[in-house]
Amino acid sequence: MNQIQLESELIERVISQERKAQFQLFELTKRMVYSLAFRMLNDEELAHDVLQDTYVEVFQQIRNLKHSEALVSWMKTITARKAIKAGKKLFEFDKLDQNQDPADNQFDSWFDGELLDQAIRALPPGSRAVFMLTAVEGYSHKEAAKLLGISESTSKSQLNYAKKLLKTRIQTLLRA
Amino acid sequence: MQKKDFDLQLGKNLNELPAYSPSDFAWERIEEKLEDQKIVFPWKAFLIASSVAGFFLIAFFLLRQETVKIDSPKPTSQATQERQLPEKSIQPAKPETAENTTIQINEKESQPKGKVKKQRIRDNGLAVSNRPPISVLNEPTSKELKLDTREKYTSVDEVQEKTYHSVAISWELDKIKFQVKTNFGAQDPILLESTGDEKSELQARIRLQRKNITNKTN
Repeated sequence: MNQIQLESELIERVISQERKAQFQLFELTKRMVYSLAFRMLNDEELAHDVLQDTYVEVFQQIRNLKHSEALVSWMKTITARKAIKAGKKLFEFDKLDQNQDPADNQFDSWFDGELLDQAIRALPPGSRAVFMLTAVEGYSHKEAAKLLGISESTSKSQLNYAKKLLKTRIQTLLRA
Repeated sequence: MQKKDFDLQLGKNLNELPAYSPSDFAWERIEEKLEDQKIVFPWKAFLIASSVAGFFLIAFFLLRQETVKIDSPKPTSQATQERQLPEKSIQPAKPETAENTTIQINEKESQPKGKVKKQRIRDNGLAVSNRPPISVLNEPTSKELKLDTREKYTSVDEVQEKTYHSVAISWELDKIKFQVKTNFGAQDPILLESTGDEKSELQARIRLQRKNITNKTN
């Protein structure tokens, strides 16, 4: 996902509650926020609710943001929190064997982002949430575990499980 | 072969994931929500503030009531004015002294000054009441009592002239005990027994004689 560059002037205007600046920020970041919410929840309606709540909180709390350069990552964290709250009932973390056989990294075909996206959306909710937070958004297992309310080891095992599932899913999609 | 490694492909494609766009109405909804939150009356803050204010008001009035209770026994000029008694009831009781004459003069001259003087008298400790003074008669009323005829009892409430003291007097005649003394014979119990019949005859005679006396007086 491409990094979004935000001008400090725009952030200042958003802090001063200027509606045009708020709209500009929304236009620049809406795909990033909505994509994260939609991939975590795999539900358009819930994702829209998360988007709405996220921007309301961003515009209300932006004056408390100490470092304006951290605005994008701050927005992502708010989105992730809102998505976890919205899909808390969906997220189930099955007990997995910690000593799973290491996945064979050999993959005999090519795949692109579109195919990977389809495979991610097909993941079970719990492991999908862990995969999105750790692999896509770059959170550490500790941070992801804290956000999801699980242990660090569960987060690790869920990531491995997600990768294994992705591999088989992509292979199935490629064969189809 | 390197390109076909799964983790490498995954890492590369994660940055190329397609971005999803929200619906066109998303901004309108956000704007509406922002407007609603601007208009929303801060009920929570208002309720807290009003409850605190109410508590302080109640506390203030309660404290004020308590202070009024404490202050009420203190003598004030208004209170003494209200307590003033009718002059007619007080005047007969007062002795004609120089001080009282000055009060009367002052009352005629100016009303407020007189009130001040009266207040001073009350402060000196004179007990004043609304009741009329006690009239004590020097003549003993017992002289007028007619013991022969019993008058109808009138209760204290029916008496027009009210006094502090009410006395109820009642009387009755004691039973007359006759003691007969005779010159003959000693009071020997054996003799008395023998002469029991004679004694009863004597007692009967005495009773008859007494009846005759009463008939004569009537």
